[in-house]
Amino acid sequence: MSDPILEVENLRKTFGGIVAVDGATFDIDAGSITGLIGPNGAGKTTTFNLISGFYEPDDGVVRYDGQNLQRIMRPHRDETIIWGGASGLVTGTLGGIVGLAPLGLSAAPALGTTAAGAALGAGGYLAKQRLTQRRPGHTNSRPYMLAREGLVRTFQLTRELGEMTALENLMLAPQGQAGENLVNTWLRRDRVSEEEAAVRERAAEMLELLEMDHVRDEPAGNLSGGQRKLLELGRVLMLEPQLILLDEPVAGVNPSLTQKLMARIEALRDEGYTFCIVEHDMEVIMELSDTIIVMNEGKKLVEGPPAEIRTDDAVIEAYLGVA
Amino acid sequence: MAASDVVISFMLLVSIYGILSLGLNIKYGHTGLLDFGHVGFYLVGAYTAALFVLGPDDPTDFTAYVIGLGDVPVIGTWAVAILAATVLAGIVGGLVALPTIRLREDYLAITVLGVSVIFQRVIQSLFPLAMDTVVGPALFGLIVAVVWAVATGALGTLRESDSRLPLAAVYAVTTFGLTRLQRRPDGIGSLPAVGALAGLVAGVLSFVVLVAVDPLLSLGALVSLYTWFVALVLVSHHYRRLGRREWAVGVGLGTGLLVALLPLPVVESVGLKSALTLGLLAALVAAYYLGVTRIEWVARVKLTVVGVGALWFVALWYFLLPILGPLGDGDLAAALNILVQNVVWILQFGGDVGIDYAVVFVGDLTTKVDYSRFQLAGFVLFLVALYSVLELTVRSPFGRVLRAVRNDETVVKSLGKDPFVYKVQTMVLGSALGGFAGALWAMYAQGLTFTTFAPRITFITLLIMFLGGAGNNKGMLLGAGIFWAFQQATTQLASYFPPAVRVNIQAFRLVVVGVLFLLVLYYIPEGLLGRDERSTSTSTSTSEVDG
Repeated sequence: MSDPILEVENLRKTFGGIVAVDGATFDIDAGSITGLIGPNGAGKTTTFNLISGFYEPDDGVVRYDGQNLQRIMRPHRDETIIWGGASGLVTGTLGGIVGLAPLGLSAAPALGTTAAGAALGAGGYLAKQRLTQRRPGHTNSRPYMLAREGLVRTFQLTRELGEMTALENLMLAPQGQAGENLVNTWLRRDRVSEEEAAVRERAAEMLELLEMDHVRDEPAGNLSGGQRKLLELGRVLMLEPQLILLDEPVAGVNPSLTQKLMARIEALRDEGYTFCIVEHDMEVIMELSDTIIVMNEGKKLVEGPPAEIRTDDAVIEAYLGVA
Repeated sequence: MAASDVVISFMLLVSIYGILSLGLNIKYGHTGLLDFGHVGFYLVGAYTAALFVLGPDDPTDFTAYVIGLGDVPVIGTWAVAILAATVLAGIVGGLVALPTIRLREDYLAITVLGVSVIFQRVIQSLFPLAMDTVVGPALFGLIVAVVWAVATGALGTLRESDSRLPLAAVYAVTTFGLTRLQRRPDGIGSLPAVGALAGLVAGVLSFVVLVAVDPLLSLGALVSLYTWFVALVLVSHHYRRLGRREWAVGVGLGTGLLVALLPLPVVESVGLKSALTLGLLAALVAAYYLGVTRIEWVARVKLTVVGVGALWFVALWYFLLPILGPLGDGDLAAALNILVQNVVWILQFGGDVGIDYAVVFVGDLTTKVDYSRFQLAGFVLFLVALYSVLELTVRSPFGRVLRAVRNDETVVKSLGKDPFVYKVQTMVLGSALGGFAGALWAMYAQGLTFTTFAPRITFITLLIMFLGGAGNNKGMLLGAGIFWAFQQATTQLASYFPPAVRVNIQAFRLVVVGVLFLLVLYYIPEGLLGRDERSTSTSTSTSEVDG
């Protein structure tokens, strides 16, 4: 097997007195399909939320492509510019006012106090940010940074954008669209509309692939439960990710489409995508997975190929409560 | 005041509040950020613009101005002031938003500041325009350019439509043959571009003609008639699917409203005239209600017939009512005189200053180009431009992200986009529009008092937004139009009452506005036009603003 794309080490998360994930440790190999199963309350979805950056872990390390998630999720340049700029602006204005009024300086020196104030504010913000990031045990939650790096997820309860059409739901996803920038929108219209046409075409192809082209212009809120599941899958695929976390992807999808979906996932795996799937449908998960990780009470119980898991005593005990 | 003057001031207010509401709409309608402090950015814009154009501090005067750039040549003009107001309001909007934007429901409270009096500015002293210098014809040319561009742009959207009128031919003439550009493949021939170019040509032409000879009245009449023609074509095109009986119901409603209001000027006693009018109004509403609930085909067009009725009523009020008095006295010339004044809306009539004409059958007319018409050209230009920019914005991938943020922020995050960055940009953009509107208000009102910026303005803006339809830019124009039509109509009605009662009526308006708000939220929560869910990157068309 190839190198692990995701390494989870001693991951821990508590909510109040409840320990949801309690020292889970496992790897996910690149180019594989890993099934994550376990009884209700075993901590599967919480693990997903931790890996995808929506929750901050209490303890433990997750590495994606050899890089600590917490490092990837450090504040992005845009955010730093906004906050640093705002701090600089406020303190610069204060500096100018102080220079003019209490100190009674004329215009030119007051400009100096303004600049000093601005530097102080922006510098202060940057220093504070540095210090915060260096503090041991500091955690970040910026899931969008992970998605930009190719680590994406779907949701157990589908989160379609109900007021937008199926096509728009898909068109939203692609990364770094020029038209997401206001300056491009206003001034580089040709480039934006060219790119938009390409995105539209890709989205339409994806809908066709998911056999949903007939609901292309339907608001996503009007779709059936199964269609919403498919839409979510299509949406993350539009991102061209590396590692895809699927939370119950076939719940509510009809059997024939489930088969097609599984074939599609396997084909994508063969193209080099990596999947980690939480699913309660045992037939599906056994057929699909290369490796299965069984979780129970927030810990990894066993890990192995489907054939072994099927006959493992500990697994049977966890699920059925008998030895 | 001629009816056209009332309409001009109405359109100025609609432009200001249209822009203000567009700002709130991008915050709430498109992105879902509810901002109760929107008036604050209006205020920032108004005061920034005012302080920019004021003269420097004068020790003999009781006021003290902070900036005092008014005497500096280019910088102390309105154009720069509006820009500064917009930028500053945008920055303040961004700053105010930062700490609160992480909350789901934003509540941005702004304390209202106060400064007292603003003086009239340099440019206004040019009005009424003297046509014997170069400045007069130039400014009039500017007005003509904007009016012509808007009318031609609107006509261009309809030139291919099925009509008994030779619209394509008229369009070819009024664009001065520029339509040839549209057949060229390199793209400059888009509708707005042709409209703008045609406006430019018309403006330059009228400048040249005015400098050479002195036909202000004929020129004004020509431009005005063109706009009436376009307005008529637009209205008839908009209602082209309406059958004869639907028209009849609409016209009946409009006439009924006029009849219901007739006791106001006719009857002497205050109590009697109020009772009569209210009774007739109640009868009218009851008839409408019965029609909507009992007759199926009326129910289907219930809002459309109100629109037709309103237009019919406005037409009667504009053209017929002013000439009724003179006609009653048998003075045909006076009636024609008033009619001409209202038809040639682009010029102001009356007073001692201006150019005198003696027209056959009509009599003496004193014409001038006044400040408010000049403002109208500017404001409408701003409104159309900002509307187009916003339409471009919300139909772009950027606008798609905004709608996604409104729908579900978590999804946006899971797709690699930071909602925070988008929310900040929205707040900056919306607040900047608020500041822009504020600057226009300062220009319009020529005087600012801090009570102008009571939270009521935010409330009115919210009403406009919900009335037109949150998330629909066109709805903002409609909402602003309806609100100010209501305000102006009630002001007019109040003038039929003695002054003591008048104050009460003006105050009572607010109650009516509040009730109106409740009714809108209850019966049409999605607004008159509803949310605009056309898919992104649908090409923007020119807006329909009647000249």
